[in-house]
Amino acid sequence: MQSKQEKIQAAERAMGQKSRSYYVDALMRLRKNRSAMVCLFVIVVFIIVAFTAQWISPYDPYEIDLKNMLEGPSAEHWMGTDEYGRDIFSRILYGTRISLSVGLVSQIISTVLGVVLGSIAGYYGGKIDMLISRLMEVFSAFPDILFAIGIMFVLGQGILNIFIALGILGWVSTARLVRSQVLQLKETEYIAAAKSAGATSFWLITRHMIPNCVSTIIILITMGIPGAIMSEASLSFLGLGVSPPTASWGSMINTARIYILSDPTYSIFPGIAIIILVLAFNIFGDGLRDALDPRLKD
Amino acid sequence: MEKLIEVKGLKTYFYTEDGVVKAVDDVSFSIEKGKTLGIVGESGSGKSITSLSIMRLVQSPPGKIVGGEVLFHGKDLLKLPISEMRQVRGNDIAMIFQEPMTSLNPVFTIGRQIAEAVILHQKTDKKTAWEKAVQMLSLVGIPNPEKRVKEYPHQLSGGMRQRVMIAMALSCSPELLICDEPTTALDVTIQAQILDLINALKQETGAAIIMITHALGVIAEVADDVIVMYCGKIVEHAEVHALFKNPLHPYTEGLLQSIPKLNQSDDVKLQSIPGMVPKMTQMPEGCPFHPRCKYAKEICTKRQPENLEVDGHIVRCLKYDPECSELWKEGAR
Repeated sequence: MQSKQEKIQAAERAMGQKSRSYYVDALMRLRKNRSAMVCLFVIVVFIIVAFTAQWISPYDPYEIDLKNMLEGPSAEHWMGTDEYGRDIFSRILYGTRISLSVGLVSQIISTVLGVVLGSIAGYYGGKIDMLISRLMEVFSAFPDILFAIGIMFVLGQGILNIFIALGILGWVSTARLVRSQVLQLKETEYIAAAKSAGATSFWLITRHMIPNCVSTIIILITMGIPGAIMSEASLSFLGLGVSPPTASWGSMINTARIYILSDPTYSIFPGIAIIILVLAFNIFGDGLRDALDPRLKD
Repeated sequence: MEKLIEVKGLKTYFYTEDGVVKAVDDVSFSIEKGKTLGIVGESGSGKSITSLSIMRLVQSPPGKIVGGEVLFHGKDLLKLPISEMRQVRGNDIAMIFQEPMTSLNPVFTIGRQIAEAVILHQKTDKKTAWEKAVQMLSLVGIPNPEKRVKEYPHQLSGGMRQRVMIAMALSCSPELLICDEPTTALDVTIQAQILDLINALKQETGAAIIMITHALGVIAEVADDVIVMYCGKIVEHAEVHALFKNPLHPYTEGLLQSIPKLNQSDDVKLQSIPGMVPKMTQMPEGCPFHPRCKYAKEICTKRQPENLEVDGHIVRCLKYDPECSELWKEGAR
């Protein structure tokens, strides 16, 4: 005969009543998605590479060796050498730093801007909403890459300016989404209930609305990172990004363009690096969206 | 007895594209400490807007409180600066909403939500607030509160959630509790439990209650005084027994006749009030109830009835106006 306590525990187990937060639930779902987990692994590998590049790369990426210029892949230089005889493999490893930091920092900038402006527009409505919405329309009226080129022209080359340019570029979509979510949340009864309990506007936005948008924001960030990586590569390819000799995948492809007939592997390897990283982020983002989307729940 | 809250000539209008909607038009009433006032009316009769106006939570634009006073302990809430009004909300006057399923934030545990309501008004640390949450949950009859406090709203049933809402509303011991159809979304047995709970807590805390509902059964259960609203106006105001025994306004009469009674014989048909509530932008001339009123005379289409005191009721009907009462006596159309 079971004791009463044991019976209750058994019943609770059967009903899955154990208190589990939404994010723990989402994590469990994510773990079941094999392709997303593989991509997460790839992303983690890239992150480790970015942090340990100075120790794991076989050569100094800036070391010029004019005797071995534009050589194909060999046992010494796995991916060959570039026009100054620098090791391409080492340069790709170092390039990971640029790509990942651009993806992350520009997304942080655009998310902060987007969440603040979007929630203010959605919550207060009226003239403030009008102003911010028009601003968003002005920003989205420019083609993305042209706009980034424009900003880079004004600010000049350099990694900091890339952060700023891509950050400014990305806030509009975040702001739009947050605004529309806040508009919906504003009408919910728990906001009315919180108001009737004496909550201030700041409290409502920070304690009730933004936490309700977090899953959307996380998805936007993971989806935005590959976009930013691509934009950085494009800008560097156009010669507007990171200034040489810093290794960036985009600028490597740009210089390799000249030697594409004589040394095709030079441009292929950085291209493959971009493809793998962007693809990993995209598939992982998809998996994260599936895991966090409450409509797929139950 | 001291009047806790006194509403005088409250007017809340909505300025829409189709014209001005007088959602609450010249509503006056008062509540004494520890008493319960019931407000009944159909959807759109202005009962919820009345309560939101007291809390100053009417969405603006399009809504606006254009006149009247809401005296709480003698000070006019409508004139308070918004920061002081926030201190009144939750602390002195709390509110329970109709939909327990959506009145709790889905991303936080119920304990955190009750604790936040406490932290908003009382300068306590998180631990004390959390203990208060556990204590409130056991007060509203949630079993195993130490464990339940860590659960999310989706893990609770509707009745449980409404109990949580009540716990949240009462966490700062308000003097007035506004219940906006607290039982509408619940099934009948849970309704009775929640009403019993509200009654018991009223005894315990001595809070006054405004009970907004469209169910006369709920009113009979909890109210001391009753207001019947129609199209933004109070049409009858009476003590609860007097209202059920002797409804004076034709609308109240119609509402009472439309409730099935246990001792009614089978061949008596259930009465209903013909017609629909008029559109708020197309109010009929004269008495707003005249198109649906079985006693209506020609005068009702022309003249707005005033508040009259008859047999201890306040009633807004020309039938009781000494100037027009002969019309009904003769029985002539």
